[in-house]
Amino acid sequence: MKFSLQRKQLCIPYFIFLILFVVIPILFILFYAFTDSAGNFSLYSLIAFFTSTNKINVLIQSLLFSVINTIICLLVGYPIAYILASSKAKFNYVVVMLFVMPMWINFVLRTGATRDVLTWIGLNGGQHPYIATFIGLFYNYLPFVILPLYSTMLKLDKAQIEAASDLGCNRFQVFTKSIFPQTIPGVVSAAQMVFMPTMSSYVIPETLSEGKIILFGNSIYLGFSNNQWNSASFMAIIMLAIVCISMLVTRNYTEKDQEGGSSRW
Amino acid sequence: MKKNYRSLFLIPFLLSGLTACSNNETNNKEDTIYVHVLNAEDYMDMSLLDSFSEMIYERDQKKVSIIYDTYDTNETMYNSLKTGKTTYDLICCSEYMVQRLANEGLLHTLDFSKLPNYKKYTTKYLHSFDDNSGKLNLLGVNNNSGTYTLADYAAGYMWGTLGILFNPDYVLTNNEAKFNNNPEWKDLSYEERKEKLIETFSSSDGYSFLWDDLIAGTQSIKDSMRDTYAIGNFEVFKDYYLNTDDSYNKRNEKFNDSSDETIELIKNKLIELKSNIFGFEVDSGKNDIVTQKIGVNVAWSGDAVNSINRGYYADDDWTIVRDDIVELYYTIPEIGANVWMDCFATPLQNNESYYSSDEYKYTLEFLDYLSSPDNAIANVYYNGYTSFITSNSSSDEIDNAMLAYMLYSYDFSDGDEDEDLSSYETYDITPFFNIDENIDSFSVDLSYVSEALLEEEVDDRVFTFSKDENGEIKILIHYDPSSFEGRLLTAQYPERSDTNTLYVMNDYGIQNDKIVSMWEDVKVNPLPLWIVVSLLTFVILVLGYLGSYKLIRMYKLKRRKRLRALNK
Repeated sequence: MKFSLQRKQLCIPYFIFLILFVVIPILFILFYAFTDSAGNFSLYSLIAFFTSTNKINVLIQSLLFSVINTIICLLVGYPIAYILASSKAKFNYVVVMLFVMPMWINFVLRTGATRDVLTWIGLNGGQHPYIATFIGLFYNYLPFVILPLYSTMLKLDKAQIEAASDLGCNRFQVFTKSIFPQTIPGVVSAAQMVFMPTMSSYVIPETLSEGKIILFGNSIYLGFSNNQWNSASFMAIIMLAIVCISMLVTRNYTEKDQEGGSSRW
Repeated sequence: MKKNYRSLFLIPFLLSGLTACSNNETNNKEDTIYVHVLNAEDYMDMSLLDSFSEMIYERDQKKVSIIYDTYDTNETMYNSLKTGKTTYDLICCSEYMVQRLANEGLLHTLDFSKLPNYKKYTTKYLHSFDDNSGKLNLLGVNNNSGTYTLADYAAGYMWGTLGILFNPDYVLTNNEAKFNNNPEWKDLSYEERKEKLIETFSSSDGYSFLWDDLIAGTQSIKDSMRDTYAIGNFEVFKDYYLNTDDSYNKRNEKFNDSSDETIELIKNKLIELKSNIFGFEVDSGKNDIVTQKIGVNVAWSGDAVNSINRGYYADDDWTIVRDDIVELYYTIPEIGANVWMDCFATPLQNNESYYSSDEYKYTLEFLDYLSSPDNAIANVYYNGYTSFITSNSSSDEIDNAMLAYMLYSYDFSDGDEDEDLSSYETYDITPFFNIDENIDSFSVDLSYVSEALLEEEVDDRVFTFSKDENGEIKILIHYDPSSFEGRLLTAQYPERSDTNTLYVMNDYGIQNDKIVSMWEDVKVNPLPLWIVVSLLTFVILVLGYLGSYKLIRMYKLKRRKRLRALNK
């Protein structure tokens, strides 16, 4: 009895935190999304969003950016994570840290530095906005791919892999039939960690493309900064909906393996 | 000001709202009078806040404390005022924002009889109390309580122009091949090219040159709807501005044209411009031009002063000159420019008793304190902008302190009457100083400014200004346009010849939403056709695959059932 009371008390700070910083903001967004500037209920923002070619255009572009960035990050991050997890060297942990270390530096500063480096190697956003933006996105989200994959791969069932090769699989088949299926939870959570942040990223496209590329996050900011709270809030709702959809789609894959690394990250 | 720092919107408001509330509560506990001021970041010499409190304490034996908050953009400030969570006694923002707030009835008119310093020292070019010739007087306000102009609501703080800041060396070396192939430029030497470039930007083609392929990829423009709209306006109506005989007010109306057709025309021009530029920026441009990432920047004059200084000095205290000076020039195209003004205004308070309270009294006192020439110079010295506070044509050392400051900073001559001045070029800034027609001459002694105000080496030059053959007192600064001081001067003040082409921009009012969507059209890149087509085919293929898969399954199930039925 005493224990349960204590536990309840322990929950109070978290509860307050959730209410203040999760529930209330979402209610605010919902309120603004479905009202007009005078505060009356209105579907104007909804209609305006789906009839505006610009906004649909930005949405599709952001989705494309997210998909491409996710694929690139996975393609690069997967082998790195595999090598790090399977080699027995003692400095593995250090290498992982090296990949993760940039994340400790302030995000805006880091992007500013990326901009200088890109200018220095001749890939400035003025002339190559798309390349510069992709490099920035890739660089910023690669650690988010490596970490979950690395922790999943540490738990790879070595016996199963050995069994697969013993039973006649060539190396490619070992990968497709044994290793990859085992790492799917990690891949899914890695993809989730990259997909949505890419779509809503604001500083990276703004800074690295010199303001020439507008993603969904920038578009929302444009609305807020021009006092269009209602339509901007509706766009935030759209973003939220996309998060929910992507969670629903990937739910089946993450649930299969409760002990997998995905739950850690 | 006019910085648009990137921001996270909501949380700062909530937090600042909380702090403001708690401050109000403490008001009653102590006898300290709190005055809440909201201003842009890095815009005021903070030592003035304490010196004001000290001054009041010595005079009235009352404790006055200035609570000074800052914001990053006009729009965030507007939002925080609108949500009403914060109460401020005094705010400072751009003229269009003051106009919007006044139109919405959120401001209280200023009682200028309580602002003697401001009334005495503000430049009549911008804020006129005698007639309607000032720029602030041009901005109308309509609200519940009647028809006004901004001259009733606002007390100016700093002002400036939107012009072009450029680095001729960067442009010429970076695009050298293009210049070599251009028939107009290829036969010119490097120095001649430089001269021609400076001339081009200052000419009526100044803005058009931004569209020119010659400088493609070196210029950045403002990522700010209003400012870039203004540039588009000059380009779209170029013929009009060049050939018209219309009065200033008519031209100013044209400058404020926000009809649907104009928006469409400007949109197309800006989309064209977008493909030619390096990028959009609001706060990185002033650094990028110094670090030589870009060569041309559409810039606010205050930022230009900052950049020119940083291109010249190696350290932040501006004492050590760089070895590799980045020579930046600021100019206003002959066709015209937007003049912006940052003004103080007092938000409307709901209870009437406020206006007889000490809080309100000291708010106005503080505003007037900032308007005394000494403190205006302290602020100009701090932020490099141009103050509304100017000089009167008198020989009094405080009365003409601002002019003394300008002469101290920029004039090359030694002030003696027998000096041969013909070797200097002159820069005429007469319109921005208040000249009394009844005065025949006055003299300006620089020692007060150099010694008492800036605590630098005593400058004992004395300049005398007297009526010329036309019976007019002219304020001419002897300078060298390509020198460091000369380049700073041209950024800090427009010249007399520009005065007739400096336009003020109204708040767009109901057209604002249309211009926002125009701005979206400019900034959003349309998807290329092949991407749309391939996306569509992809979606169709996936749906087709899933559909046919289902159909085949249904068919198989049916057949199985039929077979089962047959077997039975």
